[in-house]
Amino acid sequence: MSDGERDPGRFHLRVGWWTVLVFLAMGIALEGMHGLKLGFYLDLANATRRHMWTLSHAHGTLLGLINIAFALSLRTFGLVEGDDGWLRRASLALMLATLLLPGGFALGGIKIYAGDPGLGALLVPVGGFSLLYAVWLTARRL
Amino acid sequence: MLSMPDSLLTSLALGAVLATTAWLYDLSRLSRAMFVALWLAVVVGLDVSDLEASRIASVEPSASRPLLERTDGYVTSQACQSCHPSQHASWEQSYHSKMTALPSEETVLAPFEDTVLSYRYSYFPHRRGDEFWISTDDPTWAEPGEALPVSRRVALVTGSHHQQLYWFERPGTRAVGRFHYFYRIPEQRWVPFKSAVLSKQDMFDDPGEFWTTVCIRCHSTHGKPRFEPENIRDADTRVAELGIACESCHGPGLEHTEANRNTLRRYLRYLLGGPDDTIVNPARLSADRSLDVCGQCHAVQSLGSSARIRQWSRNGMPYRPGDDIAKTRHIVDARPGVPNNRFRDRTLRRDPHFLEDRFWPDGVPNVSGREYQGVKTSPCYASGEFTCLSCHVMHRPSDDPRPPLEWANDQLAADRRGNDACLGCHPEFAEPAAIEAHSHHASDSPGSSCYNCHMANTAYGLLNATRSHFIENPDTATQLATGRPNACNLCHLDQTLSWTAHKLEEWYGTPQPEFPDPEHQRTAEGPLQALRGDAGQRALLAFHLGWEPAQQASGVDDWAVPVLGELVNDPYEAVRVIAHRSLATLPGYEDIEFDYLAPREERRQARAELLDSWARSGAERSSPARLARVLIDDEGRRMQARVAQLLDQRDTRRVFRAE
Repeated sequence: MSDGERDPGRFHLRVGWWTVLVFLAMGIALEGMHGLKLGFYLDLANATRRHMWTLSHAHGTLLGLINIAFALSLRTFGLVEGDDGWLRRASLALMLATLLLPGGFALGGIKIYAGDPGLGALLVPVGGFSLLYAVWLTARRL
Repeated sequence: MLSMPDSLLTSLALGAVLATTAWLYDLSRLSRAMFVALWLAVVVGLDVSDLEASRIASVEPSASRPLLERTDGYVTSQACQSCHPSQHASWEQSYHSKMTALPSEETVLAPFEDTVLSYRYSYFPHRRGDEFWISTDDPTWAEPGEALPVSRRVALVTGSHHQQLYWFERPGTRAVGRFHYFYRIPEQRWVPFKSAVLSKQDMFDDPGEFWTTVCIRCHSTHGKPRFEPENIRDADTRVAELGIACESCHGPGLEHTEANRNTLRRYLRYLLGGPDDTIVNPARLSADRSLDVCGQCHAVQSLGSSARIRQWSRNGMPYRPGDDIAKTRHIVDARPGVPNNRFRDRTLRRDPHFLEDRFWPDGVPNVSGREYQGVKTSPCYASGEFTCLSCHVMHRPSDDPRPPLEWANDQLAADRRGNDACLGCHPEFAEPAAIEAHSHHASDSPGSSCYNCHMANTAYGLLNATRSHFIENPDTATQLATGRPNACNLCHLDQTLSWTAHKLEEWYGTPQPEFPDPEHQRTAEGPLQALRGDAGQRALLAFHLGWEPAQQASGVDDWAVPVLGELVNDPYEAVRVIAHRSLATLPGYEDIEFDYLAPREERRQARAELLDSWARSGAERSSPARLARVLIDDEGRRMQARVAQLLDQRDTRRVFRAE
């Protein structure tokens, strides 16, 4: 977090682009599984896994873009830390969301039960509310 | 899908959380507005999901066919799909799911393309937009005072594998009427009802309420005919679901779906394992109870009393998977000598043919689709572990290499199609040398197939012979006593019964019976049963003359045509159909045309032409001794006098197979 403390805009820009890279690569891997017709991903019995990993790919990419948008917002509008520590909290919440939302979906797809994801999916709502909180903190400042 | 109270509670809870957050953090007006918008979006979303659920539940397009009704804890396969998608998909691929269906572009297999069918009256199946209709001058279709011709919309279709039946709507009742024609799927041909069953009687002459009183039991899930015995025509029929669906085998699903809305319960079960006691899994039942699940439809049975029939009509079958089936219906035991068999005696007084229409004289079923009694009386069943699921799988595994339709044909597990099915309990025959020593046939030949020797094709159904599910050793004495062809001679059609008896004694020590009839020592079983057997035996022989293992073992090329020539002109249409199919498997006869529904004179003429062409063909003949057994003389001609003599001896008694 030392970079983030010095320049949160740069930090989130870096996180954003790296996240986009990771989850675009994941998208290519998922397409590869389609191409190879891998049963553990495509079989109807594994529909929940496919759903979870697709969601992980989509949310991860989106969160990468949100990180970039967050960083650009800080720079464009000159947003700085306030007395209430909003920037530190927003940055932390956005980082948690970036890890937990796509990570929860990815983990939830590893071990699946009938129509339910694995316990990793429990991270998803935590990540979701973290994102909501980060967006709310940022929106208030604009 | 959330129920209404669930969605209401969820909406209120979310609203409370958002309001508390707004109050605690003293939010700006914009933020409060965003929270209200979020809450409204969730509420609207939940309500839309409820509306969709209620829309699906209330689909009811017609008042003249069975009402689809979710009662008595039945929730239909739709409720199972979201948690069990692969099981649902494999069930949809099975023929069980399409046992009865609403008519649609996908389900109707016959060409409703302006064809006029004539059997006593004229029938005109045709399309009207997306609907399927039949117009007719048949007075039995008309309501009192209604002028002919009448047009009726197709209400239901039954079957999708071998043949399909069509049921039409009748005004003012949910008891659908039966169309007189089957559509035969392999031959892609309309055939009159009586021609698609092994019978000479022109049964079921009026439209009747056959689906409502008979088919509904097994071709729907939780069917309730709701008729008064004195007025079946006005039945108010209801079903939970058309076709044989999830709840037919797993029992009503309401308790299971309700219990598993609880996420914590689901995850505890995933993590701790063990059965879910809110639903029945036939694979976890005892052998008795598991077999009973299939026995609901695959047993010869009766409700046994008029009180039970009334109860069934009002409330549906009381049996639920996991129950002892014998407590709520009578499973017919046709074995002679079974003590205190009051039902058997009472049934025979009412219908003297009841047993012979369904069983060989020793109580082994002679019709397909009624395997329960055969399995239950087999020696293998005594092990306590043998059930239908020992060989069959109701849900195609994802690693099954066969295409879905191939699996659906018999729903055998991929590793149960050959001898592996038996080796689990009989590992001593696993090695090729061991099976050869046992069977006295090459290990990779049909003669070393457990199925061929111990589950011969002696059940008749759907214009085919199918495997008996009474697992037995081949025995000529049993054949003499019951008329059921023995497995050896269903391959070795060119050998006599006494030859088989001699081999069985030599190889297995099976005592040879007496053969007072000299034909059993001089005439091969193939032609013998085909010429003088009863219609049931002739149908089986007609099938085996086209069965590849029998053709290989019997060298049918030089003698089968004249035999099949008699069978394609058999008095029974079903025998003619099967014989024609077998004839087309012989070299040089692949394209032979023979209309089994043609008038008698035409058929006789076609038979004569067939025999002439065979006589002129100059086909290569084998040894005189063998040819004599199959009624061919030294010069390669048919032994007319012997054939005529055997035809004179033909067993012409009434035969009906109540499949």
